[in-house]
Amino acid sequence: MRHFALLLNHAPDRYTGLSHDSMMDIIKDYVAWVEDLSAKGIYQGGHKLIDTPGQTLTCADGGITVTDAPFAEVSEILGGLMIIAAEDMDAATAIAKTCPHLVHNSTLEIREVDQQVE
Amino acid sequence: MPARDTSLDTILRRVRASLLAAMVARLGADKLPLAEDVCQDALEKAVASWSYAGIPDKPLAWLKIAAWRRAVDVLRREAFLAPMADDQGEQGADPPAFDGDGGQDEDLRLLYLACHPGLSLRDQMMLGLQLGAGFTAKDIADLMFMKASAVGQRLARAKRKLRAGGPDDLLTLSPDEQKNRRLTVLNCVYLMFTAAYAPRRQNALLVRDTAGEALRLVRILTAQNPHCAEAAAAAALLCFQASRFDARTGADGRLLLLKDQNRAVWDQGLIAEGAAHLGRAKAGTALSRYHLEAGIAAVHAFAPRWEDTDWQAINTLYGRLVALYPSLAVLVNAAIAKAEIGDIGAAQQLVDRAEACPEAAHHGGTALAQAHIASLQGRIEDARRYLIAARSLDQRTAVRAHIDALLESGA
Repeated sequence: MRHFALLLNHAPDRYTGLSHDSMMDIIKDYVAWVEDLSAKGIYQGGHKLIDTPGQTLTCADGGITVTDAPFAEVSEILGGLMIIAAEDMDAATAIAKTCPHLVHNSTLEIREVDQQVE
Repeated sequence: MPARDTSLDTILRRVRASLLAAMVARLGADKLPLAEDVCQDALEKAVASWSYAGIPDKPLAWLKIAAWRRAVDVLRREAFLAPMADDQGEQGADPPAFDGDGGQDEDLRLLYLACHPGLSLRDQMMLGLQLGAGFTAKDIADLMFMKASAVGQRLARAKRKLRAGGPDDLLTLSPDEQKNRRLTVLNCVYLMFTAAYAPRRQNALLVRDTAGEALRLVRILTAQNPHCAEAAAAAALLCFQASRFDARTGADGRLLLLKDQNRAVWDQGLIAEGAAHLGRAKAGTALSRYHLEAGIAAVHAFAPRWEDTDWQAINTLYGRLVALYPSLAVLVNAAIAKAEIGDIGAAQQLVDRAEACPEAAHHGGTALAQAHIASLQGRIEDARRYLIAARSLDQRTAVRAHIDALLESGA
């Protein structure tokens, strides 16, 4: 079985100012999906990234410059990543289509994990 | 509106009560608002992370650490802003010492807090559901057919009242005060159970969790107070009632009366546990409504078939219950029991007495009992009239289906 990474993007202000109940309703959708796929042995794991700006490291002129990641200017940020197991890219795409991320947000990127021969 | 993930709801209900109890035990009951804030905060953060990482094996342990860290932050900031304040900063500096689940004492502590004598029974129960059983305002609203916003306001008012009474720290509640509140706590748990047990069209899982939570709490109560006859009797009653949970609805969702239930589905483990509690309850000298109601439930539980029901025993118990606690529901059920032994005159008197209660106008059960007694007397038109009245009073699908079946059978 091959592994695929789902990269879940959302608008920087997507979750600001949401009420507790609306936030919980969205979260419940994701949890239900993750739990369902885990039970089926498809879900391999994932990490949510904290919703505060990170740092961007730029290497130029022989030195490394560290700047705050420019959240305000970008249209989308990476909210987290998930790893699923699937036969091939088509199967992974079919699974990803059922992800509630596409109900609550608009972009999801799938990349295959380059697996090492053990 | 996305479909609610009921499994996460259930997990959260279960951990929320223990989490809050642990935080209140740690921070003191006078810090209830802070405890609630940090628990809410921890829960929100936790589930957001779980939405990618999956639900951990020990969600409660996870949450306790997260909530405690948050509390330490808040207390440190408060201590910094008010340097003259007492030793809160020190307390906040303590390392988290949560290992495993909180004890049973902790779980009941918040229930005792909710059962403040200055609050109405309804407020006690709603607060008990929130603080003692981990229900959200939305859960309580679903259970009690209220608006979530109205429940939220009531809970907030009740908590303000609690605080107005001074720092009501249960860590210092004297044994006498605890004893005084015990019956109120029992009543609160009993009301929780009955709120779930009444047949309704609503979230079946929520209902099951409520009943399960009430059963859990009453078991702790009776284990902690083995010589309290009322607690043992209430535990017996809840066990007997809960044993019939699965048998009460037919495949079509219709309400099944005792007469029509498949007794093979009754939970014999719960019946045996109920009998053990009832045995202990009888050892004391106290006789409470729980004793009588548990006794009646026991007679039903031990009848192999409906035809085997010992109606004489049930009538004796109802006679004493009516004398002790003549509520609308008790009068209606006592009337049915009288009808079963053919004493239609007494049945009619009891149901007329029930009908005279102010709440009877909104209570489909009274009209149903009237219909039953009328049909026994051959007053078919009266019976139909009462059935139609009962149907209009009851919005619950399961009950309506039951009434429709009666109407069709030409009762």
